[in-house]
Amino acid sequence: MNRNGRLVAAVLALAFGVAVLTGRANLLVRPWFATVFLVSAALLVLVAIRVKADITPRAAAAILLPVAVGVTLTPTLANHATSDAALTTAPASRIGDGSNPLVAGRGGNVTLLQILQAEQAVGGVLLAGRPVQVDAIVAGPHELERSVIVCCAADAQRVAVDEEGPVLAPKGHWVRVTGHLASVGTKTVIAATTVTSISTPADPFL
Amino acid sequence: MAVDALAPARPVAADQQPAAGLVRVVFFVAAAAGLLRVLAQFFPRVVAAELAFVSLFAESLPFLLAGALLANVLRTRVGQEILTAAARRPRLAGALAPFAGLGLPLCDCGLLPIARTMRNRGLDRAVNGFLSGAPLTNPIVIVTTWLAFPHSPGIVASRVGCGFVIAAVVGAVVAGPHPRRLADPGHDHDGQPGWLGGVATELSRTAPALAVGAALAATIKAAIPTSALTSLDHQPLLGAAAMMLLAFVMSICSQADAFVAAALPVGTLPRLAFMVLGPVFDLRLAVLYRREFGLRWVLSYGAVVVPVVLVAVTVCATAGLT
Repeated sequence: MNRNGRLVAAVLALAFGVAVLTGRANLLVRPWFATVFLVSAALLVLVAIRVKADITPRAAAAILLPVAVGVTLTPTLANHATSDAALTTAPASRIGDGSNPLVAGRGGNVTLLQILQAEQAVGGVLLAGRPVQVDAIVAGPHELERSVIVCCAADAQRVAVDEEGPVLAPKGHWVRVTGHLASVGTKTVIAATTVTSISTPADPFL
Repeated sequence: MAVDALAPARPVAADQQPAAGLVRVVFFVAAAAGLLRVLAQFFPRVVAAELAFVSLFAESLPFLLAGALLANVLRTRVGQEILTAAARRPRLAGALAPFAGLGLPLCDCGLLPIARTMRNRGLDRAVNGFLSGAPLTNPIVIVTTWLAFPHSPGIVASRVGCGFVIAAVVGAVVAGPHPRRLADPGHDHDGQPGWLGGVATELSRTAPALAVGAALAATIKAAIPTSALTSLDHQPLLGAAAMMLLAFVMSICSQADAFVAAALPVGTLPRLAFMVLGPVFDLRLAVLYRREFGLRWVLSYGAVVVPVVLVAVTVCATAGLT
């Protein structure tokens, strides 16, 4: 490529590589996609080194704009990925999802998505009493939520689970809730024993 | 920027690109990113648009590059023989084009480089069948739909079946994109590896349009809440049309849309409509296709695809196939 073209390819390769190495890729895509980013980075490096082609400055600007915007994004912004209400049906198990400990009859460190998926799979009554610990965003005085992505942040959807117990931190704060699952009517809730504030995780999406 | 990025590619000699051009690019990009950051302080939906924009571009570009690599197969001797044989029997080639998806583990944008190669060899009708059918018949779509709807084989079959129906109608009705023989993107003037040349061409030629398409889709999606469209589900046909609009605007990858559809609070018909239209025709693809095949072709393609999808999914749902 000409100088600009080679630079664009090199910058894109660098962006893909840095996104994976710094964990910034988790803001954009599911973790399994990191491999795709790395392969793309390697391919773009080869293109930058070995191929000659032309690119106009404006085309270069169009390609580099998402890179520049991506640099300015931070995990705290993931709270605003979607303004839609929480889903009433949990998404099905996705590519790259491991086994759900709640479905397997255990508890422990789980996600809100796993709670909802387990509720759909085995019913809330069977889940009652399981000890759990979840990291989530406060959506209300007694409501927790997370944003779920299937492929990339463009398809972000909210899932929410109610909490019983201490009043949570102000809306939008990240908390770690420890307690056990309980069945209230047709809903599964988290009966919390402790709620502690935590900083925004590097991988804010489920 | 958008207009120029979408205009037909014009070769620019290296000596016509002074350093000032690069400085202007850096300045524009930095200023635009900074402006978005400022706007995001006042309008949270700008953040949603930013995230969607960057993630759509970052997620689609690898598939575009993979498509460019796979298109190299058509430049091998065997590939050339296949294309030559297909050019001699255009009707048969058009009928078989959607079946090509079965052997292409690519998402929708990855099919474009292959379609361009077909178009450049005069297989214009086959391009119609390929672009409207292959996105629904490829193994990634089949497997992910099965994973998202594990207890509904009818949904999987209906989605794939609709792909063949749409391809047949579009192949028969829509005029093929105007044949335009371009320099072979696999050829490199310095004798560099041709398979990398195709990737470079895709980067300089299609990636800018991909960025523009991602920006458009992200902006409109952030402005229209999904709930506004899903609330139209009380009337199945209206719900299906609303979900087709959502699929068009969201422009999400065809390897993920089945999972998103499965979680949408709508009925089977709207879900199927969402899954069938998205891979075949969405905003991001419309921008890419406009860049490659022209606005007239995109409009005629969309004018046929949209009603055919609505009819096909309605037939599937009312016949109990789902």
